[in-house]
Amino acid sequence: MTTSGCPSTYRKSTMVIVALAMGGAAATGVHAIVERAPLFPHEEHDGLFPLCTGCHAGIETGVGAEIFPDEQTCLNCHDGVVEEAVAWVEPQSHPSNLRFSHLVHMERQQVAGEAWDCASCHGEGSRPDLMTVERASPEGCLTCHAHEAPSHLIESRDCAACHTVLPEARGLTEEVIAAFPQPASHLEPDFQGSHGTLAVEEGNSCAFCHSQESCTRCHANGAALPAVRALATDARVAAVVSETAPHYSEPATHLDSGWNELHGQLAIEEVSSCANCHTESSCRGCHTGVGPAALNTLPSLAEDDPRGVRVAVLAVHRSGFSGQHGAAAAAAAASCESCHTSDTCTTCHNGPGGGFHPVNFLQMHGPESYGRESDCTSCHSTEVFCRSCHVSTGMGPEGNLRVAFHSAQPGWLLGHGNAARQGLESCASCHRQVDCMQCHAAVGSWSINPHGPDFDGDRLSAKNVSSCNLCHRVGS
Amino acid sequence: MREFRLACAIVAAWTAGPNGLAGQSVRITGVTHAQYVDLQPLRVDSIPASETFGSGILRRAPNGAVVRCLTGEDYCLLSGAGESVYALPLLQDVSVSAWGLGRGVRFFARLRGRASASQETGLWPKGNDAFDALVAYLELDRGDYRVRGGRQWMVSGLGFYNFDGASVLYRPVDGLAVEGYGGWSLARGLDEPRTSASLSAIEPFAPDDRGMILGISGTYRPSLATSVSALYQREIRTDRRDLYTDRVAMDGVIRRWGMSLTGSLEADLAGRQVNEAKLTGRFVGPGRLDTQLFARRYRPFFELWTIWGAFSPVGFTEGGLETRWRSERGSIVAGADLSRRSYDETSLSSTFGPIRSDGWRAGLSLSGLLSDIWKADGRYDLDVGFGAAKSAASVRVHRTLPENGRLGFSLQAFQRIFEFRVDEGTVFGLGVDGGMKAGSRGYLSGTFAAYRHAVGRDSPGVDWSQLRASLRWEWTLGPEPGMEGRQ
Repeated sequence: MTTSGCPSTYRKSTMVIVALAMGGAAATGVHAIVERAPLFPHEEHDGLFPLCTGCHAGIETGVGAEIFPDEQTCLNCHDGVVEEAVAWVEPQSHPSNLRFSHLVHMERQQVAGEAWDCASCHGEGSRPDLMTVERASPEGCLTCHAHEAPSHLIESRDCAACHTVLPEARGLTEEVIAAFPQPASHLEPDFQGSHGTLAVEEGNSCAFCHSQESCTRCHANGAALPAVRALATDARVAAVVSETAPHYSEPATHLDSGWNELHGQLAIEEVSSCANCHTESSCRGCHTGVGPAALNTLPSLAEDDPRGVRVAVLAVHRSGFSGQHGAAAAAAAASCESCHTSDTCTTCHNGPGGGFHPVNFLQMHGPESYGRESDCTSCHSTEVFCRSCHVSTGMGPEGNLRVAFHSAQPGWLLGHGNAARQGLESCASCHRQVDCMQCHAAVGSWSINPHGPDFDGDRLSAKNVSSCNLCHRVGS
Repeated sequence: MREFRLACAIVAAWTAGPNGLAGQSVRITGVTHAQYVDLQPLRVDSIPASETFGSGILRRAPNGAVVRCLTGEDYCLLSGAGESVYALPLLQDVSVSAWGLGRGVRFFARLRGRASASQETGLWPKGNDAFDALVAYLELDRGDYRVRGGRQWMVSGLGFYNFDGASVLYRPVDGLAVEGYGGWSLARGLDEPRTSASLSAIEPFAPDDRGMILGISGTYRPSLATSVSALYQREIRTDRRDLYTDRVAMDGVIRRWGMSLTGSLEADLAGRQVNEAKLTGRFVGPGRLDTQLFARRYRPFFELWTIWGAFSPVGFTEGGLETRWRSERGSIVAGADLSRRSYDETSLSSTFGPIRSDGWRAGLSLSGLLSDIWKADGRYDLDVGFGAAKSAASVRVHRTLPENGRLGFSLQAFQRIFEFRVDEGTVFGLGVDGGMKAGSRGYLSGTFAAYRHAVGRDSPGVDWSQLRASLRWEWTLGPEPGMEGRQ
């Protein structure tokens, strides 16, 4: 009994053709999937199934769930009464780097005006009266398809030597493995950035050329990556990659203007992602000392281990950031707590003991304080910190204003107004209020008016009349 | 010492509490810091007017130093370097974090002890103040709200304020936080009330009332790319007679398309003045050129209890450019920056001639990896202003050592023009710094530097030659509450 293009009888076979595509594989043509067991005894069902597509409808439709019959189909007969009960589980996929799509081939045959014939590949058995099914022969493919490789990498031309996962391809030597051609995808500009995603989505594909050593050459965290763990170990690959230095490309995100400030937050949220390229030593270039907590979750390697990006950004924040971080900290823009504990604020903002300033800052802080590069008073009390030190070191007066500190200008006392209005904070870092009141108070002094043209005395007295009374002694 | 005893009592009660509570623990971190500085304070001296050269108010001593002679007086005054004295302050910071007594309950304190072996009292600020409780609060954090009571701090666009009181933080949705706080205010940078002896000892007109602080702030961060905050804060005498401060601050950051824009504003509501407004744009262009442009308006702020605000201080407007380039692998980073500030009109004339009404800053920097473990940094800065100026260069090479160790060597040379003084010369410095792990949870670091002041002929004698050294030991006791991964 024959039907359209499908032999009516099928030969008992030790190999079952499992559709070369399961579900999406059939639609996308991603994998060839071959399984050698369990076997379905086609020949014992001779005459029962007139059409191949009766059981394998998915081959024509591309619906993965229909490529194999379900167990219920078997139970229609094998119910334990009519026929012996059986257990049927559809074959599982076996990875291969061969790709075949029934749909594509069917369409091509239709375009060529040819009938789709299962037996042309699977039914050339010696007993056409039986339901004989054979595994498609590679030679059949090669009648149309030239081998893509310019020459076979091995002399034996044994298909299985290459078209199986690498650990099973024992016939491949280290030299052959080292000479594997790179697929076109590997030459894409963003391949290094995207290969992790591809490895997760198409992990089986990687296994034909790669072992764990391929990945751990760069990924110090390889043991923690499922896609890497899914690969086998292979001494040949280990030997091949041992002489190759790790290579890391810089993700586009790292070039963003806010990256330095933001990376700490992202490290907390997904430090495992950092660990793909970075080790603890990557961060130690900048994070000396105890360092942020997330740093301690990165792989820690021996000093001579070449893996891990050596970060050469010598400062996370721009120079001068320490004096300008107020806005970012106030707006919580980059979540300072990613790297800094809440203690960090009090370490610096409560006076000495921090390390906020460079070691020789004391000698050079004059210009910076005049230019107000940072808000000194946020940490230092002008009176207790600045003035007491200036007086102790002889810079500030101890009551006697006749000392020769302002020695560059002979008429300093008479003409200091401009300097005072431009840098009054610096004046207050040495002088007490009473020093100025010796001349500028309205009562008991020279009554030299210090107020400028925009001075609003009424408003100021409404806010704090006590300060007015210091000079004007109103009511006293 | 009252705060110290209170903090100790709370920690003791905590540790003596029921041990069966899961997750209950105390973590103590400490920083022991010792510093040595020797210097020569400026001392006033006099010489007979007859021994000076020149005429007028400013003359020269036989050694070339500038002296100040008042008409009719037999002696002229000069200031020069006095005897070398040293300061040796010792600081001991201890942070205590205790948690686990109820969900979200935590006690945190940061205490500072001081001792001073300085040769002269007062040579190091607060060197004689034996103890400060910088922070000591009890906290209840339940995710969407947080309550704190005790001595705490507020970090905001106004900078850093601490106070004794309570704060309530409410987070209704992710990225949005509103906080209200109030209590007794503390003098900024002092950790003590404005009525403390520390302040009155140096300022005769220090406030006689401690004052209260009240404030409310809001922060909204819908994403990592955008965040804004606003704060209103008022400090007032407890008798409500006078204000000490009345201020607002607003800050914001927007990041888009590889660029960022940061804006900040501080304003004094009492004086109706903007104290600081700054807008900064930053972008990374082709070739990894990181460029930052900023414009800034600044006018000093003084608390209302002082008379300084009545002296009509003027502000300045500043603009600048900072740029940084790094090589593809980041092994070389080069930077340059330039800014100029221009002061407002002071509405005053000066009898000794006009002073600069502008200021410049320029800098060049170069950093590079010499190898996997050696790095080098070099920098030159020029700062020219109306009150002070400097020209400074420094080079530092440093290397990483096993076990998180580090070692660095530095060379410096700088000139500083003192404020309104005739004073020239170059200071040369040589320094070494290093750090190493001290035990499994400790870190020891130190610095040493020697400076030699090559005094110019016109110098009146100030001598910045000095030795500086510091030693810092950071240590931790107690468990880490799930933050350090492997521990």
